[in-house]
Amino acid sequence: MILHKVASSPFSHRALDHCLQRIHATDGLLLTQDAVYGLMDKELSTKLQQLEAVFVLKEDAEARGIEIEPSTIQLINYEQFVELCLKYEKVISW
Amino acid sequence: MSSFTLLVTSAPFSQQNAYSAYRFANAAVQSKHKVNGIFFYQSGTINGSNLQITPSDEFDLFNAWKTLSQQYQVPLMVCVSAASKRGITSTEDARDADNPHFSLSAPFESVGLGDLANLINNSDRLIQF
Amino acid sequence: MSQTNKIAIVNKSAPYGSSNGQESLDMALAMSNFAQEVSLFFIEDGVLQLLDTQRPTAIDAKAYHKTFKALEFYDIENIYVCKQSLAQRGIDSSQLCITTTLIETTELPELLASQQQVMCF
Repeated sequence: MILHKVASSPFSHRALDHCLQRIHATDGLLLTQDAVYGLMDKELSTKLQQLEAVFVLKEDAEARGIEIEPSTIQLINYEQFVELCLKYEKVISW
Repeated sequence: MSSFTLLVTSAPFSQQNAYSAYRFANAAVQSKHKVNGIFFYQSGTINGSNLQITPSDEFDLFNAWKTLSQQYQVPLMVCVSAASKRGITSTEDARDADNPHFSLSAPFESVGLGDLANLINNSDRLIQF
Repeated sequence: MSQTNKIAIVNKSAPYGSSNGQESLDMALAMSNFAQEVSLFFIEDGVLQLLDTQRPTAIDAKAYHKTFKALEFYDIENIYVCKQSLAQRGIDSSQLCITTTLIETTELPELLASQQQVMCF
């Protein structure tokens, strides 16, 4: 069980795509910084909802004016981010 | 209680990563976890520059790192080889290179990559920013 | 917490446009020197670091790729390269400067599962 942390916008960078090509069904995905802009892409959002566990860092989404509709995507704060890193066996930062 | 090593590989301000690492470290110590050390590598070493001047209406990450380190005994370790190439040198390193100037001072420490191996050995998780 | 950790270093950057490749190799050698068990992964643009035809002296860059040939002397023997990343760039594995283990894109998480920590450059 790996937590995949992505920080760059999928509109300009391939990190999220590279991560999604390799993510395992039981892994978690955490969108931070500009990666939260990925939620503005409807197609990508739908794709993300098929994953078992997708998290978005609340502060980074709020800062960027990205609203998260209640869905399978979970908003977490920094304290929960810390706990999430412990819940998964390791963290990879794409 | 769990323990963390944070690896910071990007410069302050230019990218958000260093700030994110700071917030993570702060949240970890607030949640009673231990941050064994913050290891600055690549352009992350610039976080240690004591020549940084932050405008008064912007978040002062440099002093925030120092406060975090002093309040919670979190070592701030700067990789000497990565730092030297980027103009980040301690008094000793500057003296060894016959350079009259230095830009790294306590609580930031000039260390080698072996210290990162030690931190990792003693931590439950390594998180890179 | 053991005294030897299995550390995966994932290389996803091309060699000269940034310092990632060179500093990732520095990291790998140091970790191995300090008794960590290092596995290297080359994926996406990271595979370009292994091209045998590189001549970085043309741009005064360090020919750090030559060190890849010496990795076995640093006890770094697990070197994995993403097959699809090579194919996308029209590279055949015979064009690489070292022999590696070719892996499918989807094999990465399985291989990372046996590691304790992951770094990405």
